[in-house]
Amino acid sequence: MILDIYKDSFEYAAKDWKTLIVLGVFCLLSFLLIPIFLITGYIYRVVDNAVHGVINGRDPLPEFNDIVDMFIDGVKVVIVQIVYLIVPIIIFLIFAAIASSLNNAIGAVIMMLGCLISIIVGIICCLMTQMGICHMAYNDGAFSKAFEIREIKEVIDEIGWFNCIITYLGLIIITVSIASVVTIIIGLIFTILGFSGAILGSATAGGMMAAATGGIFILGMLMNIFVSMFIVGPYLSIFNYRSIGLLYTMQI
Amino acid sequence: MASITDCVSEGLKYPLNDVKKLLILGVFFTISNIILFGIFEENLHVFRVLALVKGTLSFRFSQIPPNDIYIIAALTVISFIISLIILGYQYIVIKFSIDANNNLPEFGDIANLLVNGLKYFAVSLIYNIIPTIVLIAGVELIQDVDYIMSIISFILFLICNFLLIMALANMIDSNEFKKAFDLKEITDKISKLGWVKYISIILFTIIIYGIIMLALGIILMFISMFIAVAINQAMIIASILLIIDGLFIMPYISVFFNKVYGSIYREAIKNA
Repeated sequence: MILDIYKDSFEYAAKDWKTLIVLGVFCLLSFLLIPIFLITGYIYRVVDNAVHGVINGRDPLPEFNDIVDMFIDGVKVVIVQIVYLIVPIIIFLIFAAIASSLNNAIGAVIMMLGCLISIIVGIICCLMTQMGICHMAYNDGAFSKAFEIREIKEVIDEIGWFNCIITYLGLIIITVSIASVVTIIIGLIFTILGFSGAILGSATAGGMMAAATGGIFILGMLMNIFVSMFIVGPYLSIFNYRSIGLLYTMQI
Repeated sequence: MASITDCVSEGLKYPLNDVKKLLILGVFFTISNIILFGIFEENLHVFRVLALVKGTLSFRFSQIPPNDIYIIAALTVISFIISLIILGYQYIVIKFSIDANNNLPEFGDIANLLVNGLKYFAVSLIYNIIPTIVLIAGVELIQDVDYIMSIISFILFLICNFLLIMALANMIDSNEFKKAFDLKEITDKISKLGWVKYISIILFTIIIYGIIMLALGIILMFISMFIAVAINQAMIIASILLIIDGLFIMPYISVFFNKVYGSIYREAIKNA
């Protein structure tokens, strides 16, 4: 079942390369602040499509129409994420305050305990955030539904905590491996180009070619940034959120 | 309407329905902006004159050049009248929003706009008087614990302004001035919508406003940088920014806010 989710999401995210480019442009313009929310708004639409769809259904990628709604949805998603993020931070701060007031071995133990607890709470909150966004999308964007912790817990219970965590781990592994593999491949290509240029160049004119080699390395770095911004990044985020949305539909 | 946040996205789209009327409102805002800028300039001039009068720390009215005072007074009156027109327009925006009318109001009847603006202004003033009095009393009378009084007055400001939104809509819907102070009816309508929902939708609107203003600020910063490279004059840059602000940003934001206020009220009475 989980593999089906991954397969569907892989295909889904690769449906239209233009979408990836548009998202990449938003990412490039994100210093203007509003495009950040447009990206999250688009991701919200992906989740919305997924929770109302079925695995291996032929859903099209969402369109870039109705920018204002997209912006509002994006802000909602960001607010949900921030609110859930605050919980582990507050727990950590409380423990830190207690530990710093004790200031001895017990304080250190409490600090360790606090770190552990806040990491666990953070993981749970992360799960809750994703499911909360899905739950919000499922209930036609009703903002309060993102914080109905009991309902969200029931949803996760029905899917099974084990399934959820396994899916998450899989997503993290896939994301990290794809991103690193692409980066390494591009890096390798440009390193080979650079070195071969340097070897060829040393035979003719040393100084000039050394500068060119440096240029090739920098070009490789730029290439890496652009590929990850325009293709890999958008692809992986659509993939991730599609998977989570489909995971939400797995409840019986 | 599936979600209450649809009010906000509706509000963001609404001013763009009729850009021409928005620009007319923008002209009013620009005039008022420029006048305020002028008053600021004149004030600077007055202070400069005061600073030149040496030896006397005591403030004497006769020392101010009379011409400047007359200009400042005249400009203040004009800008007040213009802001009344703007407020009157906002009044009608709320009215249209309650009636779910998706057109922007006309500018035909200036007298009507003035009267409505006066009502809008009076209600806002009266709602803000109590916290202001508390603030002034706190700062002036109780010297030692004035921060407690400022916190209290801040909370009062928040409460009053949250109520003010509903009060304005309530007054505009019934078209009676005293309905703005019928606190029982206002709180009833808010509790029909739900207090949490009411407060969260207003907070959400403010967050959206903050994000938009921040983004516009970044864009304006770039624009002013470009102008600064071309023209090395702070006054010119400031005036260009004022005109952009008054012509496009302020009318949009004010119509957006008032549309959302009206929509919240509409949702509240719909749930009844």
